[in-house]
Amino acid sequence: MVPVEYYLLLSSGLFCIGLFGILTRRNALYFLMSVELMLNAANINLVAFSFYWGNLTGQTFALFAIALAAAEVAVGIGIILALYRNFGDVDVMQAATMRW
Amino acid sequence: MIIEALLAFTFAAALLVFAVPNRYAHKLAFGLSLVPIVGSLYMWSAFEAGGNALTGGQIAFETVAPWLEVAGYQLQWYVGVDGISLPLVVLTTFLTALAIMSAWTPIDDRQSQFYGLMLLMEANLIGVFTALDFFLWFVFWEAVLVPMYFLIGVWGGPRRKYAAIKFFVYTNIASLVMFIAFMALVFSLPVDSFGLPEITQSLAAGELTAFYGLPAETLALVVFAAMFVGFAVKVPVVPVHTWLPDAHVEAPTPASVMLAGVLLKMGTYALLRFNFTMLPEQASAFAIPIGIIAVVSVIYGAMLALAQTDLKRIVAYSSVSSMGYVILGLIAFTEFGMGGATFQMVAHGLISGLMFMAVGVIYNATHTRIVDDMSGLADRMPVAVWILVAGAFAYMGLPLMAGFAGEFFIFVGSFGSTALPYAPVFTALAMFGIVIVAGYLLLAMQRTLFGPFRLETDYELTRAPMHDIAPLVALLGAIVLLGVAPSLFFDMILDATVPILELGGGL
Amino acid sequence: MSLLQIEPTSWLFALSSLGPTVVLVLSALAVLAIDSLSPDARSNTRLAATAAAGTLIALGITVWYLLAGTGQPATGGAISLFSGAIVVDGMGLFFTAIFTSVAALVVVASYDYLEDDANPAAFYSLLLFATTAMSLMAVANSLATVFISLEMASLPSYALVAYLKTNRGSVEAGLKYFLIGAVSAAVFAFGISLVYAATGSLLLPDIATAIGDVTDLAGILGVGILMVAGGFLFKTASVPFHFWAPEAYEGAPAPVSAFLSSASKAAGFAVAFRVFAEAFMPALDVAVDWGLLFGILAVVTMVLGNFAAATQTNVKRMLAYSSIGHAGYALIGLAAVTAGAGANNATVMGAAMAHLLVYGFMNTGAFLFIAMIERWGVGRTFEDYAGIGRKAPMASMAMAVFMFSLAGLPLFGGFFSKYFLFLGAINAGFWWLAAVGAVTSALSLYYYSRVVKALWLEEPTGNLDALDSKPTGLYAAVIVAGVITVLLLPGFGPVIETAEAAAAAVFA
Repeated sequence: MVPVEYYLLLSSGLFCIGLFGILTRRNALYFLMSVELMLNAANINLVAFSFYWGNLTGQTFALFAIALAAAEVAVGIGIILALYRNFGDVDVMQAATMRW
Repeated sequence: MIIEALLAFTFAAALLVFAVPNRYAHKLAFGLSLVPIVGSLYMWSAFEAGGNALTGGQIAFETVAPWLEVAGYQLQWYVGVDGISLPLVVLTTFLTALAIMSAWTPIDDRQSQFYGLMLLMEANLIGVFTALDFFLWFVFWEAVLVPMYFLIGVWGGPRRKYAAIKFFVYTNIASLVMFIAFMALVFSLPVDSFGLPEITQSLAAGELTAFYGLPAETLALVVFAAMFVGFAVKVPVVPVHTWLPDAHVEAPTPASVMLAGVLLKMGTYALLRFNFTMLPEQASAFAIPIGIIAVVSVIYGAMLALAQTDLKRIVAYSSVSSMGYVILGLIAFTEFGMGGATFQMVAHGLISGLMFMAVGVIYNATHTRIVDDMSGLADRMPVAVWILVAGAFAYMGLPLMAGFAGEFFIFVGSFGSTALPYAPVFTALAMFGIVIVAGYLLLAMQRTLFGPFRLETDYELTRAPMHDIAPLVALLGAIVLLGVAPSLFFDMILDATVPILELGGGL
Repeated sequence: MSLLQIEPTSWLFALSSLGPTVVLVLSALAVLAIDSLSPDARSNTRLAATAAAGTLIALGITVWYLLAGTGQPATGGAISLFSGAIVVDGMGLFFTAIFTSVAALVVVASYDYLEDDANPAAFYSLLLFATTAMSLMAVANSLATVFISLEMASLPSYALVAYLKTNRGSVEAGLKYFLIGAVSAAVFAFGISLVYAATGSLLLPDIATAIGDVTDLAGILGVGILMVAGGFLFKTASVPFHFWAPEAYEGAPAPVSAFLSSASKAAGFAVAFRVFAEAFMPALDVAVDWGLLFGILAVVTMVLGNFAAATQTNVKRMLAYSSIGHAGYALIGLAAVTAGAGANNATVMGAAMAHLLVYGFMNTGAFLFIAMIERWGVGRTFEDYAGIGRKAPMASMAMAVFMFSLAGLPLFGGFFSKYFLFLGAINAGFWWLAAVGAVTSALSLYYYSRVVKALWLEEPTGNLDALDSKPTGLYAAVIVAGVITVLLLPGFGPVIETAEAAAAAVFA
């Protein structure tokens, strides 16, 4: 059996890759994918430790998280579509009419 | 319940006036403002109380009801009057009605809002003078500022925005300082409410404890100093007086009347109630600095008045001077000093109200207040001019006028003071102020009112309308009445101030 | 109280305990149904009436439950539903009262704002779905329900911010809000997974019990708690996850800004209060001193929000920064918490809850006033606001009330809520929090009074003829909010008593 620490390492790695993508990518679609990576890192943890603790709470929660991620992408794509219509691009740095 | 009825009626009247169209507002507001006069006069006639409300005396028209609880302290709806506050309530209702009438000529824009704010301010002023719970008092105290801010800022002169904001900032910072100091005081006392009588009596019993490592004696001194600063801004005394001339010059006449007549008395009233009644020993410890502040205010205020060319500024600076007398009387801690100071609050309220109103009437006709621009007005507007002269004499302390009674009592009291070291010196210096007052007023009068007629503006001078003159006559009547029979108020004032002296070990 | 006579295991019992939530979701569905049945008809009035009725009925039920003592110690304590994943108690009901009141005001105001809108049903239903999710956030008692309800509240909010699809500002605001929201949701989820890794449970009371036994995974737990805190800081627009707020509030339609800055912020605090008070209390000694963390963040948030607000020229953006400052005040409710000091903790957290309620009214009112100005098309800067008091005295008077109340002048509800909060912090030994709060409040009077000055003291600079139209719904909402802000001064007693009792029950 694989020790749980390995799962932690895997999920942390995945989380960091996602975070790196968010910080470096300017394309909104890549941004969405990076967020998905981060959410899935959380799911790995939940499933792994559900097994470790011997209860189903984590696995159930992971299912909900997947559903919510899908909903989030749906809303996100909608906003990105509106972005494309207004600014003619999906570059998140284009939308800067207000100062940060 | 009469106080609640008075407050509720005045608030309701304010709301009603806000809602009516502009062209009816002035008469409606005046009519409605007569009712509180009747109410306060009824309170005067039915007044049966003895002693000071804070030191355990009998409180007239007292009502107590719980409001809410904070950290083990009960906040209350707690109102009532004693011999100190009742004259000020009468002054407030009387002066508001007259100020509203004096606004009929100068205020020609957004009338319903103007008169609504005047009534709103009256309600809050009544609240300030009747509240006996600290939080209730503090809410009313702050609520007075907002209508005045708008009255100056919306209907004032050319530099009204600057004046309104200066007034608002000065007084709010002062309130914050005072509030924090008072909180520190209450949290070091074994009391379970913010009722002012309970706090006073606990302090008198010597129950003050240390506060975050600060010993009780030091704490009392610090709190006294902070509260003195907080209230001194409101009075105002030199050197925190600079907001006053700006506010007065820019304010429309009726707002000036209220500002000089009643709002400044909030400061001295609070000094008397909080500093001198609650912490008399600390007052004695600070006697010399306070005496110096008082005398400097008297003389410096008078000198500044001498240097002005604007009639309104002259009267404004002379208010600083007069408030100096009040502080001197309070710090004297004698029967006549403290009683006279309280009496002078009412007397000065009437007299400065009269002066501002008379200057306002002249301004309505001439559209200038600069002394050099005019002379010989007595020929063209005799009634207004003679009333202004009478007001000036009242200011100077002509016998048989209220100003004389107030100042005379104060000087008698402060001369024989034991609490204030070198009392005769302070008194003599302050009396010197009277000479300056007489000087500048006579000078200004002579130059503007008498001699050949000359006016530098293009306005046709006409006699002032009846509704401008009527409030002046009423005020003059009240001033003479109090000058002839000061005991109308002075007896009840003494009744309420003497217990403070006993508290402070004076008398 | 008929509620308690139903068998506690029956589904009817669960349904009636969650009455406000059920009413909200039904009214949202009703709005969609009306729109589907008559898709071509311009039915703004019908839709607004349905939505307003839904929020008001939910508010009524919430207040009734609060008064009747449902889920409070008087009638047997918190009602636990769905194996403890949801707990209906005083705190949940108190916050639900905030959300539903704000939602009702916003719905009434939106009636005018959406007058020329092609598809108002989308707006109302999104608003109601978000409110539903917030009412769930207030009663969520497991990290699973917390996460799901938080996301359910966020998703409609993103869409609401970007509601004006052809307005570049609105879309940009929606995008930024969504981007930061999505990242913080991922961080939040990862934090939850770490907490689950360390404790083996998602139910808040179980986590609290398990924290004592955590040994070698204490570091994981600490990181998890920090990440969870990050999720809350985003939702409440606190430093360091605040920078979406000025953008989103400025770009969004003003009623949505009102909704987000009042209700959404309060919802964030609702879950944060419950999660940290119930689950992470023992972690103060074991894993991470989150009390100190919130203390530092509260100070930074108060200072940054208020100073940034003082430099703005756009009124809406100024209010956005002031909203960040107020998040700092409410954070005191978490910062002044110490292990083992139950009574003090409950006092200060109750004060923070009461502040959020008062804030709900005064801040919503202020943003709705801006909605009114936007509808008139007068402009956005302080200069554009000059002289509006002359043409629209009632609304401007209400705005003056909101501004003075937000600044904490002792005339309106905002004074007592701040006073209780600072006093609670001092009593708990955190005098530095109260000092920073008092100083920044004094500063805030400067920029709030600039609005009052512009409205009342300045002469009109531009053409104000547009002000002749009187939008009824907006007026009604602004004036109701103003009256309540005034009445919260004399009537603050019941509010603070309810809030403190609710907080005490959570800490017990």
